[in-house]
Amino acid sequence: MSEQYSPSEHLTEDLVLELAEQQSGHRSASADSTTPAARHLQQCDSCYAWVSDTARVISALRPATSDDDLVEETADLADPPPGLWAVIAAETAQTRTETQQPPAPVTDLATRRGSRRTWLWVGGAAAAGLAVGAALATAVLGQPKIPGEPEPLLAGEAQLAPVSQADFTGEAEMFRHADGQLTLTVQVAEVPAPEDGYLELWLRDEQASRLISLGTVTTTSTTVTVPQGMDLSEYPVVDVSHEHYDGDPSHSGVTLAAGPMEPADS
Amino acid sequence: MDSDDLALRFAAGNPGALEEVYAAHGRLVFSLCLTALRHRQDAEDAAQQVFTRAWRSRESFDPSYPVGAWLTGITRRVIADHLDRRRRQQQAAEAEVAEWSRADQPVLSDAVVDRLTVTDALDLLGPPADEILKLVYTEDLPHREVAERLGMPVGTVKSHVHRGLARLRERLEVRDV
Repeated sequence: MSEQYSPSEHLTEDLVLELAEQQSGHRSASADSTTPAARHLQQCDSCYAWVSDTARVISALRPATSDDDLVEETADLADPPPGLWAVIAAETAQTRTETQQPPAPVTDLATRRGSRRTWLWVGGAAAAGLAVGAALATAVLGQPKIPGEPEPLLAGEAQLAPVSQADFTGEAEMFRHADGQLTLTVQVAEVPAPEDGYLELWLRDEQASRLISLGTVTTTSTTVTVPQGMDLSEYPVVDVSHEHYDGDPSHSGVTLAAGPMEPADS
Repeated sequence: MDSDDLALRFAAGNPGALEEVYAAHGRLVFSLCLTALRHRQDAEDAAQQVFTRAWRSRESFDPSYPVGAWLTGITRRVIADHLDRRRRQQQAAEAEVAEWSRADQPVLSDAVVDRLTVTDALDLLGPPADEILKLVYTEDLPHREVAERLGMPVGTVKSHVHRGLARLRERLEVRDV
């Protein structure tokens, strides 16, 4: 095939294919480095790249042989879980939509460093434990002590903005009780019909890489207990997800609404 | 959708572009993560990081460069970070046996990346090119036999091979040689 070929010309499509098939082992190689085509390849970067890229494609198409490491390594395509896009969408929501809508509060934390720092103090108070909890919260948040009746104090609140369901909103309020216990009350616009699964309430970090489940939400107003010792500064975002009865305890990836917890106005 | 146009819109920060990029490349990125990390939850976390990182660094993306190949580069770095973290955790947990874990760690070889990239791209190529390339290179059948099986002239098989390989070549990860 390469008889009439002169090394000063670029390779033809057919010649590239022939050489690439040899290089990939699809076709037995002549191993003759003195042919005009082989000499041209030594001096022409673009033809060299054309042949070697084509050989890479052909090698990848060929069945794995015992010579290469592919036999031991599984290399199968796998579809990502259906909820993965929703997590990415939530994560990038602010910048993707900033030209169209006001930014969603979920990713707005970076611009609220001041309030975040205050919230970190509240988190510190939560970690400080049962005995000193209430007194510390009062001191930190600068709220007047309520004489007599130990009413729970509003420690923080979050507006939950829609993420993967446009009309789904909610709000969450965190209360500190006299014994230092923290509870989170979440109100959502609606709950799914029982056959469509259920809602789950989470505290998580901004990247959604660390999450703690606080339980299920089956009514439009639900109060759960926040575990003692949890460092709230590491989990500043309230997240309501849509879950199915699939026995999988992890976050489905479908966040209906989420928002950053803000310290209560003092 | 024209892929060059998508690359431009992505680089410009067009709101819908990330979703299209995810639709086109999500499976490959996730498959690479799963192959390297061998852990579903870790692979999901890693794939998510790849796309958020890609979106945040879109200004450094050169739209004349294929988006898929660029994402593969980011995927490699995210995977390396995950493996590093895993190694450090393991070393902390069992300092004495830290050495074997390094050798035992699954890696993402160039051959595996190419295989997944090409398998993914082959699906998108559609009929009859995908079938023809499989018969010629995976089943190792001569062009003449492929032509008979599919009831088309040998010349048509040949041109599908050329065009198909060219399309797959465009999807390859760019590597420095």
